[in-house]
Amino acid sequence: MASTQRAVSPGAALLRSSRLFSMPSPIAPPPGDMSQATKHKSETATAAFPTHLTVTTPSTSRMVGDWGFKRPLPLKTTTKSTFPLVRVKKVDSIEHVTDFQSASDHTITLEKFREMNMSFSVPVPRDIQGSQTLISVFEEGRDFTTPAPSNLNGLAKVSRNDGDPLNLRWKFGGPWLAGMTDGEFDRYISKSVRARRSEFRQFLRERLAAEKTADRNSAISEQDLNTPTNAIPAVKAEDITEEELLEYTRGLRGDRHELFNLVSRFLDLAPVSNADSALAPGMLGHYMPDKKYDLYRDSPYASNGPPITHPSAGLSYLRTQNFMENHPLYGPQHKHASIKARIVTPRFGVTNQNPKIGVNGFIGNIPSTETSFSNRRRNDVSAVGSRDAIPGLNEFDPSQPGGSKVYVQVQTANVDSTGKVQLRLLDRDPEADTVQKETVGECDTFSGAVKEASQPSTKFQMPSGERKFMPNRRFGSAPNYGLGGPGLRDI
Amino acid sequence: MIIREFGVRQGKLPAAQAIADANPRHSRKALAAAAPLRRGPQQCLRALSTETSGTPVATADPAVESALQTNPENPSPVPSLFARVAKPTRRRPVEPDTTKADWETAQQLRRNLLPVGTKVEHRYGPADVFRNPPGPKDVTLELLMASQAHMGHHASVWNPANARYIYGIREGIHIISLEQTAAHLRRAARVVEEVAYHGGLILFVGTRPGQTQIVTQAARLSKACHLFTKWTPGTITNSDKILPGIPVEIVDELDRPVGPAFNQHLMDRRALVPDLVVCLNPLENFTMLRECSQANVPTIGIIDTNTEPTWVTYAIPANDDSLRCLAVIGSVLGRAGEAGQKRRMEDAKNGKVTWETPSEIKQFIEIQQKRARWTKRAAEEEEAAANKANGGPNQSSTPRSSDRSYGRTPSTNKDGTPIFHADEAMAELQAEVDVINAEDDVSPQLRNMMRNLD
Repeated sequence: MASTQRAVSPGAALLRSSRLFSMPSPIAPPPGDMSQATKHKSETATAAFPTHLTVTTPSTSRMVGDWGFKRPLPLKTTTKSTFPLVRVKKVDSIEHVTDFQSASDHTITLEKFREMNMSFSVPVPRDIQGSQTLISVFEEGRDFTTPAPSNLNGLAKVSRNDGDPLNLRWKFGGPWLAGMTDGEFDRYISKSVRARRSEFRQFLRERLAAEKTADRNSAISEQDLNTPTNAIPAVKAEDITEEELLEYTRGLRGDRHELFNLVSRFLDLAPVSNADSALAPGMLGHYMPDKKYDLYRDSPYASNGPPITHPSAGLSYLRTQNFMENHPLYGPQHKHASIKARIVTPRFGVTNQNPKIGVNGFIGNIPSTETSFSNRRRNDVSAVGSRDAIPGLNEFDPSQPGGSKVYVQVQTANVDSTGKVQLRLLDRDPEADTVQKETVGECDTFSGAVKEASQPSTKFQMPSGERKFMPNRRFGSAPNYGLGGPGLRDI
Repeated sequence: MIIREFGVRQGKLPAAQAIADANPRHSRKALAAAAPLRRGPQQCLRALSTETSGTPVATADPAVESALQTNPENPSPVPSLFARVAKPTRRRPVEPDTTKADWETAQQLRRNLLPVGTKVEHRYGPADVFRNPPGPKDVTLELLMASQAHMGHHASVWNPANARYIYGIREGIHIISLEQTAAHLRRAARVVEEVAYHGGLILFVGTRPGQTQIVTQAARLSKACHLFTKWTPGTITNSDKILPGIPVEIVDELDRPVGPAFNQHLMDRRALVPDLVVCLNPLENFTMLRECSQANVPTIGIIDTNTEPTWVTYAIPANDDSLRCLAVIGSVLGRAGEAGQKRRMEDAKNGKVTWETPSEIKQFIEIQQKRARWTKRAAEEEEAAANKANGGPNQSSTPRSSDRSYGRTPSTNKDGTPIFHADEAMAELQAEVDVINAEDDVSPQLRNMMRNLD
């Protein structure tokens, strides 16, 4: 009985299961931004995503510098942080040193991100206006990479409104043309595309044969309903003559929409946005008269390109945000707990640049609609409710120790084509903010309310006969804490 | 946490307990005391509620507002919760200080609960290797791997002579085969044990920072010497200059000092040379290893992938940078030496001496014996001469001129014991050496020493 695995020595078997051998090789660093070549670029800035494994060690071993690598790591740099986290870039180098650095940045950010209970959703295409339904990246019709039949079963649930079913994938064999530079495009054409000419002609033949078969079948069924369409053999690709193919190709040259569909299907190109390209539905000159076209909405990844990882990036496996948080005093909450965010960069007066708000280590995108984030007035006392200007958002406030902070509500997250996490913020919710502030001890609304209510009011008195409680005006949780017994109002 | 805070706050109101009593159905619930209060502050709590309809705070609900009032005209069935709450709070009575009793109760509770629950097993601590040093029998591949013995240097700085110890390349470094390390470590442990068994002098050397504890522990276990500072070049090859007057002790087979009988020998004895050197970092101690090879001293060294393995007699291929690995290897060798010493002492108690007396000491003993004989003979002759002088005056008291050991009559103390002259003794010793040199049974070492003297 031959074993599929080669027998190895006990030491080798031990080494293969060791932690050093289990370290994954580092992934490629985030793609550089070409426009940053002329801008200020920080070498020490936190990368968009981690590339190396984070290593930790027990506190006793950290005190002697033992991290399980070739040599003890220096105590001066590794014992100061609260959590022992390093990433090792080289276990040993020519200079006889271990190349390592702290991995607290990404690891703690991940921990903070998980505290947010955030789910990842498919990005909403640019051409969809109005209310947007968030779709999880783990939904059946979205989370697939190959157009296999088993995956297409899940696509049955996808409505035609959502776009071309095949373009709902998050991984494509070909490149995203809209994101390529000229040089990259030329290289792609010469290296990958040019060699496949004859293959493409065969692809066109099959396509033409299928079209011819369909045309003939429809003609037959129009003439005589009794003749079964499968009685006559289908047109084969070998039956297509050169003249027919030439004619078909000429036709395609005038039909840009069809041609692009064929090319992108052949090369498995990532989808591009209809809005920007020459394929915009408004440009009727690109369509053949008397022909039926399937026009779809943009793919979710059309405008910004497909993500370089799974669209959740492994950061969260939650499918939805639709769950309620319970508060011990106020009961189930309509909104999630607000998150304290820091105003990284206020809005600049001159450049009118959008302010940057750092939420748990990520820069959140403020909503583009009219919200309190877009209020540019200085603290306007006449403004009511959530549209109050946020202090420190429009101008730098040097009086705040540690910088200005703001409580925000996060709607959803997604990963863009460069691997960065994009958080979409909602407008502020003053009630959720107050509850969260009280939870963390920044304000005390409850005891103030108790104190105020314990003072007998003399302002207003109802006639004695009408004294009763208003039904269903209780706040927070049910009066009997949801346990089914009679509530307080029955006492 | 929030619940506890509010509970404490509410506890300050004496009415809270009364309310709880009035509502026995609710008294079992955690927030029972605080619950009735929620009826009062509705007006204020509205700002915190999750209801999105209605303007917060700005308007008060008249119905609720009225419910909060005590109406003097109609003193009937008001839920009266609020009335109780609104009573002026009394000051809390002064309670006796129960801190001590509470603490004792807590300690008692802790003692009672200590054996309850999961038992946490101690698996590893960095100091374990010093608290309970592993011996040669404890060497396993798992132990060696856990102590990072398999991690060699960057693949580009290797010494090709170590190719037979290397298993492969991973993470850019050479991986040392664990089987090789274990086999060589066991062999080295056997060498240390036998050297200790035969009474040899072992020296543990580790001169990198952090190796002090390792070499001292190994030396303590195996009753050996240790070095954790710089090796002074020439300590072996030029020991007469480097180590003059280093105190040396002569012991018997049971390691007891033999007393002042050999003081004369110790005064002019050369410094000792170790019989085995264990080096934890051969790369930095090349000079020492070179001197050892010149003096025919066997060496044991930890050979990393960038070290030349021919520098040492017995190589142990392992990671020489990890203190954890060095501690394991050092303690294994120390335990081996300890076992050798133990065996030696047991044999000595049974009358079996496992080592030979050094030839210099043998010579010294022989000379002393000869000297004693000659002294005795001289005394006898003197006595005979005196007797003859008493009986026959023509007898001479001068010793024979052929007696090499005494060029002149030794002066004696009052009690008749000879007075010792160091210069004479040296001359006599040299003369003895000349005689022995002429004979065949001279040891090569001694001959070598004499050649040096010449």
